[in-house]
Amino acid sequence: MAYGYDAHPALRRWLLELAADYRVLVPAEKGGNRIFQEVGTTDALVFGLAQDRTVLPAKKAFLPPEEMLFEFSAGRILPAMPLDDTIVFGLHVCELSADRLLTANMTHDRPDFHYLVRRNGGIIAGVSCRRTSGCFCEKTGHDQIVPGDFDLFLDLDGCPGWDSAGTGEQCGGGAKTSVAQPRLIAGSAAGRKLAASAPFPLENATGAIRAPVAAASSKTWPLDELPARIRDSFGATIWDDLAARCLGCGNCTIVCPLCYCFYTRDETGLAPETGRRLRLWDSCQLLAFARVAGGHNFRESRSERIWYRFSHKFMRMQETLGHAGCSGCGACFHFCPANIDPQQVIADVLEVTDSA
Amino acid sequence: MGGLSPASGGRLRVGIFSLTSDAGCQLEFLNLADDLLALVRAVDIVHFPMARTFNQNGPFDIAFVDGVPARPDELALLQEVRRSTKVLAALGSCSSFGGVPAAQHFHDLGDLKKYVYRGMEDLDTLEVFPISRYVRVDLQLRGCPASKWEIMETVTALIAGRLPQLKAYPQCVDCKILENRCLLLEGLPCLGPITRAGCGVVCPSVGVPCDGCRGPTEEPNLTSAIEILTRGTTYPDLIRKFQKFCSLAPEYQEMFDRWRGLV
Ligand code: SF4
Ligand code: SF4
Ligand code: SF4
Ligand code: SF4
Repeated sequence: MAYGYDAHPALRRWLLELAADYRVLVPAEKGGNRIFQEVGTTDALVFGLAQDRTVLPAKKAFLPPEEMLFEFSAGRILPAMPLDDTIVFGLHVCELSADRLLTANMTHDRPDFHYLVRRNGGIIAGVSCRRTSGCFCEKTGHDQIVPGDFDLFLDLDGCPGWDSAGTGEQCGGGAKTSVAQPRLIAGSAAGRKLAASAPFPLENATGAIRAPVAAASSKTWPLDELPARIRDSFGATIWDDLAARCLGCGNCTIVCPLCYCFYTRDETGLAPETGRRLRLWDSCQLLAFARVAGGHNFRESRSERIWYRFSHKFMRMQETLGHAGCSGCGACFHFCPANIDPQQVIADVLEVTDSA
Repeated sequence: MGGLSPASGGRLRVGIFSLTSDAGCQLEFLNLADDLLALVRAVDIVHFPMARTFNQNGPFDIAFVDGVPARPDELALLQEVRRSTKVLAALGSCSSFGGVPAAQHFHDLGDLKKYVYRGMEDLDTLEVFPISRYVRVDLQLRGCPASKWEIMETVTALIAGRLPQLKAYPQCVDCKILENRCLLLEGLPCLGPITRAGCGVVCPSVGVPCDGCRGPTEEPNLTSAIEILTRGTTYPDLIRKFQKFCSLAPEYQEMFDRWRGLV
């Protein structure tokens, strides 16, 4: 089914125009997956902007899976300068909220130069969300955003036909423009500037934008209590049960919009005075993650590693940044071969620590 | 620089040796293409029967050995190479884990001689084991064939005097970063989650499930993996998959023992 930006000729034209000056990433189909790809490099059909998760989250635009930090040659170090002119188009509410928290995380304590150059030079445009299977942003507090969290937002709420029509015609893209128009909301000066050439009416942001309510009514989580609950659950058998199922494959953290762990590797050339330092994504679910020089491993068992993942998200990030390090996107569950669902994990933590 | 100090001044002396195998791992050196030209300028590849007419004996700074000793003369060669080499690298999954030849362990050797080498029943053949059974092995470059990337990483590391950084984590990490379709989630028996990365996830990237030719990750959760993988294949077929390339990997033995108990 062809819907989304290429079914909407005016949107397509606008994005191609922007791509002349910026690197523009949009969620587009490739090999059956939805992937943030560069406009102009693909003729792929673009899946419905408003639904389905991408494999890797938008963070890859600002924290690439592999990047060179510097190269060296004959005693001289040449730092790599990150690109800073990316527009990422099509983030859902939880992704915009995750982007805000990730940026706060990369700023506090020791600012991460490479991330911040890219992020500060980047522009992000959100889009209305229709929810995907297995997502739960209302539980993690990532179900609303305010204008500072985005530069532009494409509001499709007056335009349900966007997703189902199969053509853009019902949404002002074709001849029949009688039906409701999508509208753009500007959240920053940069967004307002871009919107000048956009094929949609522009409005200034007035307040928070919320994700649509989940279909199934779901219990909220006591986020303030979770740090203590997670701490108390250390050593509980729930972690051993998870460890019995988990393959330690790392899929869950690689697809997570709020994981940011990396390692560095130094490569030397055939002429050993030349080389480069790379940084690459890492994962706390991998055995070698907490292994240090001399061979000691701080988290030898899989159950400790799984506890660690959840403690970082619901204990440490909650305590240091005031928000859970989980947006509720459900990607980790979707891509986990062992079907490990954070919603179930937190429900279990709450159950085993319920002393009332 | 604190690299390996060359045995005879000048550049490092490298030997590439083949025992019983299909020599595909040696071929990977030739497949290095442009890198090969740079490589032969940086080190002296003095022994490489696949590519050289005249081959020198040791001493070697680095020896890459592919294949398994399947005849007494190959065992003698392996021991001679060890004696004359500073760093000995097992090249590929045959020398690391027995490879495809080690399938003999799942059959009767007498039967195999009868059916495979008809008329040569007096063939003087050894039981197949990884080369580490006979000599000290300093580095293991896994895979069928070994990966070009790991070959270059090993040589450049030894020139600079650092340890090669070979990947110990599972295929899924690299596969997910490439944003491939996950074959396991589609019900195909992909061994990626319990197989070491380093080949560039070549099979899943073209829609073929990982067959585990690079052998197990550290501490693979085989119990859970078997449960998940048998949703897409039968238990006997899965065991055969594990027996294909790396059947002598220590991590697999308990699984095979349990299987032998069942059949
Ligand atoms: S994706 Fe699932 S099986 Fe893989 S490491 Fe994460 S929790 Fe474990
Ligand atoms: S959950 Fe693990 S991989 Fe993710 S940010 Fe925390 S420590 Fe890193
Ligand atoms: S932990 Fe899972 S649900 Fe939460 S943000 Fe990460 S991928 Fe999404
Ligand atoms: S296709 Fe195989 S290697 Fe790739 S993520 Fe899925 S299980 Fe892992």
